Amino acid sequence: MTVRTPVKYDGDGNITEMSSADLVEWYTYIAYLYAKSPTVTVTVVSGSGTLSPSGMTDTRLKAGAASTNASAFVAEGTTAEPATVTGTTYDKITGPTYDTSGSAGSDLGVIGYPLYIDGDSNLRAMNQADYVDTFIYASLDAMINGTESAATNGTYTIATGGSAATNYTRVSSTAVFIDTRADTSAYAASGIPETLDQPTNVTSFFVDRRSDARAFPSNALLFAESDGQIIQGPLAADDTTFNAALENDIQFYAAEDSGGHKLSYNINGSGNSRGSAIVDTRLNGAGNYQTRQVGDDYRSQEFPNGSAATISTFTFKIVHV
Amino acid sequence: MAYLWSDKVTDFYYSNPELDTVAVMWTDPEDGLTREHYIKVDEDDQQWNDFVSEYSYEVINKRTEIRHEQFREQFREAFREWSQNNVNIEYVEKSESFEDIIMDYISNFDITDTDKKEQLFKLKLKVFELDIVKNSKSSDMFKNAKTFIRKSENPVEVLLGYMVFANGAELKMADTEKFAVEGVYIPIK
Repeated sequence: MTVRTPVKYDGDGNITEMSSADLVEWYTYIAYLYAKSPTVTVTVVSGSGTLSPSGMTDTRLKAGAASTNASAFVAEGTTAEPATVTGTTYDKITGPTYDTSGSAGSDLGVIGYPLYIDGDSNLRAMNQADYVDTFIYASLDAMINGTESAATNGTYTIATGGSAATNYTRVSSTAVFIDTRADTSAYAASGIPETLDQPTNVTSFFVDRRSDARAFPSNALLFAESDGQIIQGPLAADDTTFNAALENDIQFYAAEDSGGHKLSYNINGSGNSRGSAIVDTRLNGAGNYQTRQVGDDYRSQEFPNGSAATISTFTFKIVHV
Repeated sequence: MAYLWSDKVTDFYYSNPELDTVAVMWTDPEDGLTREHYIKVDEDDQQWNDFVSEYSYEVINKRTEIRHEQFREQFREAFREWSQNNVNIEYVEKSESFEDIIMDYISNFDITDTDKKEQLFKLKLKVFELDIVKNSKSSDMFKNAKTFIRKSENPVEVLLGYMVFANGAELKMADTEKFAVEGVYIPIK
């Protein structure tokens, strides 16, 4: 099993090896074929998600209870401190779910796979194992790249935007985590005793899937014919024998490969991070002491304050298994 | 390199005292809104390495310090305003000696104490700003030492990491986990 460098016709009467840019175009096209019907999926559920780790809990500060006294303000040291509110625990990501209904494509034979130049400078057809290494495994390698592109089509990421970015599809409008913090602007001395817990949503995290449109490679592969002639493979068609094999096999190997190229997702495990890490942030101040006098009623209260600090970080990752 | 934040970053800073997460503020050209994006500090992760290749650790430290100073200034301003309108402040001399403070900070360090955690954060930033650290050569030894400092959970560990730069100390890396440190060898000069 070997990764080969397929050849192309350069338009000047020469047969040359494809460049790395040519190969990226093919990986991108193969990723598109995968994305037509992904076989490794992540979904957003209402609860009991299989991917979310335990402890994905949103926390925030709330004000301390107000103190009152008939003759003087209760001192800062005695007024109740802001406390932590343990909010919603999010368990909304399920996956990876594998569609294992497919099967590996049959051997297309010597005229079914692209040509390459061997060590003796002869044109030779790839065998099926070469083809899997050269096209399918290489595309699956590109699909777990940390850098998202058309070559990662059909894979998932975590986004914080209000809507899916260009070339992405939002899996669900339900956020898989909402980070809240105390809304410091909602607390005022004139409102003492203020409602203790006055949160505001800071960041909502969503699962998006890369969904680029099809882009055919610029350069065709070359194949041998049974009479020994060399032909260019067609480009602008998904349903040719070879392209159909690519589509079948990328979908099969992504979900069922036993050679270490199956796609998988996890949180805080190994692999490359995808999109934004999901974070629980909380204000880190020791309390904003405020007072209010209403006749003989001396009131004091400590409001949440400080700057936002990340308490927990959950990183969504893609990896081969 | 293509991430949602690529070419759209407006600010970034460590978002916690552990220095293990960076908040990246990026402005979405489609709606003009500035959004938060978070990246875990992980030298094995491509996104983190791509981010650091564009914005070095030193630049992240600097941005973090500027942000902290902005918060401190806001606090000072609020305090000045409050004190002018409310009370006369009496300053009381602290009775603790310098050595008491140092020993208390080192021997009674509590990572769960918010104030102590904040002090540790500032200590790490201070060490990263020192020329001897900032201008250190690119090598695995110094890279591991910087990671060790970033992950330190108490001031002694931070100072041990600093000694790699200042005193020729050497970290003995553990085989069990990447960047895990088993011990520190400190030469007597």
